[in-house]
Amino acid sequence: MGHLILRRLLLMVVMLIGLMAIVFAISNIAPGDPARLAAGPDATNEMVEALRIERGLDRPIYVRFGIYLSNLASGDLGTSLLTRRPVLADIARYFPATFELVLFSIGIAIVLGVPLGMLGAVFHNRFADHSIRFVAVSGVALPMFWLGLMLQWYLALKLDLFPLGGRLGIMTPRPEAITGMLTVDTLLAGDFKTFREAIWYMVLPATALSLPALASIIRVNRAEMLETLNKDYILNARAQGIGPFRVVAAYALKNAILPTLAMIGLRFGWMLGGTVLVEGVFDYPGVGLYATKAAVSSDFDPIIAVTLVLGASFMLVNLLIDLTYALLDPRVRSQI
Amino acid sequence: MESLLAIRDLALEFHTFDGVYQAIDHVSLAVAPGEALGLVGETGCGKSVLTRAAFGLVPSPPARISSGSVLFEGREILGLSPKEQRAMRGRDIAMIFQDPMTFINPVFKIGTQLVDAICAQKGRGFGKRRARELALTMLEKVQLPNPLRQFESYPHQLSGGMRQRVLIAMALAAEPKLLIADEPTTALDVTIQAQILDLIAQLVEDMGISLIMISHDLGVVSQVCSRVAVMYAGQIVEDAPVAEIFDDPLHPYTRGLLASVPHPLRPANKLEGISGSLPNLYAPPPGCRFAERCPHVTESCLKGRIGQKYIGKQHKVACIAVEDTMQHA
Amino acid sequence: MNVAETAAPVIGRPADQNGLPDSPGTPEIDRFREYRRMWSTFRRSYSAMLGLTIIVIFLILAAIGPWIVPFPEDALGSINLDRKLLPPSAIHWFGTDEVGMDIYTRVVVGARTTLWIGLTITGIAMLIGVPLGLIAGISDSWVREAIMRVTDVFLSVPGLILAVAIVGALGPGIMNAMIALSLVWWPGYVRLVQSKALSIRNETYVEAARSIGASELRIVFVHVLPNCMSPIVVKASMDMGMAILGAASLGFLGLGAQPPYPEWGAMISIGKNYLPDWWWYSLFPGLAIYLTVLGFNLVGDGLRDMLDPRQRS
Repeated sequence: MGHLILRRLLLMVVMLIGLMAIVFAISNIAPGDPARLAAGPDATNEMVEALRIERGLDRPIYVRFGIYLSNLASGDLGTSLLTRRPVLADIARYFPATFELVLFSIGIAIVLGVPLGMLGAVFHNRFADHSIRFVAVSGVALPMFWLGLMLQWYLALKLDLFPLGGRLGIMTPRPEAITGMLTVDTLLAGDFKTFREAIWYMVLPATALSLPALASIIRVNRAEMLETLNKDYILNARAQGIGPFRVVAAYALKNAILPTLAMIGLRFGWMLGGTVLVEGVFDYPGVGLYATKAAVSSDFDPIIAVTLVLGASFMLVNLLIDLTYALLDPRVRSQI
Repeated sequence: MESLLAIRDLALEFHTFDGVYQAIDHVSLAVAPGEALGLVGETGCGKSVLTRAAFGLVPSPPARISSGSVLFEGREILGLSPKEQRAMRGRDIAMIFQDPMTFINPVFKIGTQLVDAICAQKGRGFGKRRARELALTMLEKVQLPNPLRQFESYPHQLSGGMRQRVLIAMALAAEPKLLIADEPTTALDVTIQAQILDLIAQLVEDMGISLIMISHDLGVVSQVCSRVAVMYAGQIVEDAPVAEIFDDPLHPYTRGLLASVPHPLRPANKLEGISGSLPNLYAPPPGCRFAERCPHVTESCLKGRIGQKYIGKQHKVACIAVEDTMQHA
Repeated sequence: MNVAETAAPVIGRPADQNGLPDSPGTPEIDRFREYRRMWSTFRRSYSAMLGLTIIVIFLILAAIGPWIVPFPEDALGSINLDRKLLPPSAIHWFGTDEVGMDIYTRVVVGARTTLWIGLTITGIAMLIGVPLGLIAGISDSWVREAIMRVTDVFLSVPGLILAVAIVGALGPGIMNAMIALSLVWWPGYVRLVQSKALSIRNETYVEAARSIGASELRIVFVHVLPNCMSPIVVKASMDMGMAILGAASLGFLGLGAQPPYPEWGAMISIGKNYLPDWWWYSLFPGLAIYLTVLGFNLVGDGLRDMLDPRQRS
């Protein structure tokens, strides 16, 4: 087991270097002149050239990639032109917020999606199934950013039920940053009031972020349950007189959940990407918003860094999913 | 003799895209307490559907039972609620199936599945610990080597024969009155087949359980059963004691079946198959369903239903070409 | 001692197997029957028919939109400050925007943009992905490894963030957004085609074809590609919707189409500044995106049911 995890982690490093190479190559075939952009609009030609040499932008691309990698190894991800701060510091500040939001959202999607998919399969082609399928089909088609806007418009602006955006009220004192995730930090500090507030601020963005994932999880789990319920071992379980609840919620679900897990992993990645949209709508200070701002102003170092961090989280989550898979399926477990 | 199970005039259809598939056509069949009955026919003739339908295990829709009754110990069980049907399954009627590979849940331990089944069969209040003990006893009874270890194993760690033993243990744990064995050896190696057959025959006799053995293999049935019912295209065409079926097969289909297999007692010089294939059950022929393939077909075979008639005391056949010698008996 | 095994219904799913006794003999009739059965499966599904209806309307709007809208001059941008930010009314069905353009006009005209975007992204992704997938599927060597590893790297990062990064490099604009989305879209096709090709290659009939001397190229075009068509068609239909969603997202972020170009995402991007009072500005373009994507998804589902033999019953 440990051996497998180690191998996967090593593979991940290789994949991340590949990812960096791709993003690096793309950012360097860009039409703009990064030195001029970095120097600012008022810079003279000499200043631009000086900056070009200072940043090594006059060297060939593979040399620069090598320099980037060695800088990265020493924890230097470059400097953001926008915030004028080291990218690493920015990421450390913004990533926990994103991670917290995504975890909360995927939690919602799983907790609602798995049972709903199960219900849809049990009540196949009846009213409950049709309604659940409607949610599943609509959820995938809804533009996340638009859904966020509409929720914000109606529930926050019009009915004033939820905060407009951000992570906490302006007047609320911040808990001491330990993990950077407000819910965790407030719990560590024993501050339940602020904990509730932090959750409260996440409800709308998390709803917008989780609906497409919820929809996919319902779809997959429903389809898998339908197929599993037709399996011979389910017939056997029923022939033994085992109760319908246990047959569905244990005997069938434990088999059907395996492919659903793969979808959960996939959707986690989509959510990480979706933060780019939702964080902008709710002015939620995470890496998605950070990356968008950087992209609009051609600020490359933060973009590469965010791509890297999100890619790494995605890979880690998939590793986690695979381990869960092994935990649930003895056939997989015996192979590793 | 009071029957343990009496299926009367059961008809079942599948409503599908292509129309109404008449899978079971007014079948009657009875099993006495302690009797071992073989149900024989080619794949798709409705053997499995017949037994499963009787106990509410055929998904509906698409299946629909259009007529008939099923009496178990004299009690009608067709109209029972799903809950009542479930209470009967496992406790009164147990089943083992064809492919032990697919009939055990791959992601649960053998022990968990056994205990679950036993708890379900014995009802509430039996207790997990007693269920566990009973499960282990059963595993010993089915001669599974090293029961304690297998109890903690997952299905993929067991061979096909071992899994079938587990399924037999599961089925017989609550000492049901009737065991339905649906081609229990078809998916196994030939060497294992005989062991499993012996095991079933011995357990059924020891425990005084009635048996319905479904098979497409007359040889298998002859080893275990005392009586055979031959099914063809959703109907029972002949029903007689094993010896009579082998010595004096009356229905042309039964004869065809016997002629198409090498028989150990009566070595044939040449094997014959039955030409043609099953009739289209979306639009079954009005007369005898075997007529199209029958070597002795006559004009009158094609008109109207062919009823069953007694030829001997325990020998029924559905063929008009057979002299009904027992008409007056 | 076995009785001849004849193909016949299995319990519970009687129509599962082909070769029911009434199957007519000639292949032409079989194929015709097959098509009829497929279409019937599709037609009997309300959701698939709903999707088809939506797409047909969408295609009609994309084709004749500019000629049927009430304010054609608003399509590409005009300024009428005297009628800015009017609520929906009989004249302006969806209201007007901050410079007085008719939103209904711009939503209808936006259908063409959207169709163009969807077709381009899906088309380029297929043009790159399908051949690469076939090559990876039939070559046994480092070529496959190389293709699949690059594919893995692309799939290892959320597509949208990669697209944002690419547009960030290329600069905002609808062309660049389409390039970026195409670049992140093709790996999905490589995976799909490669796995399908790999499994088909090992089928007995392909082994047989190879054993009588069929070349790899012939095997690809005669056996592999036709068998990949169904999943590709289903994926393409789904991807039309997803690509439209992706392009609208980039438009919303200000990285795609730039105002006053009539693109739904970009319209919402401006419209969000006019919430809550001028809600119609972002509501209607969003509904248009939702319905279009829904249409393609529903049709994709219907196609899957229709083309997937397991579903037939």
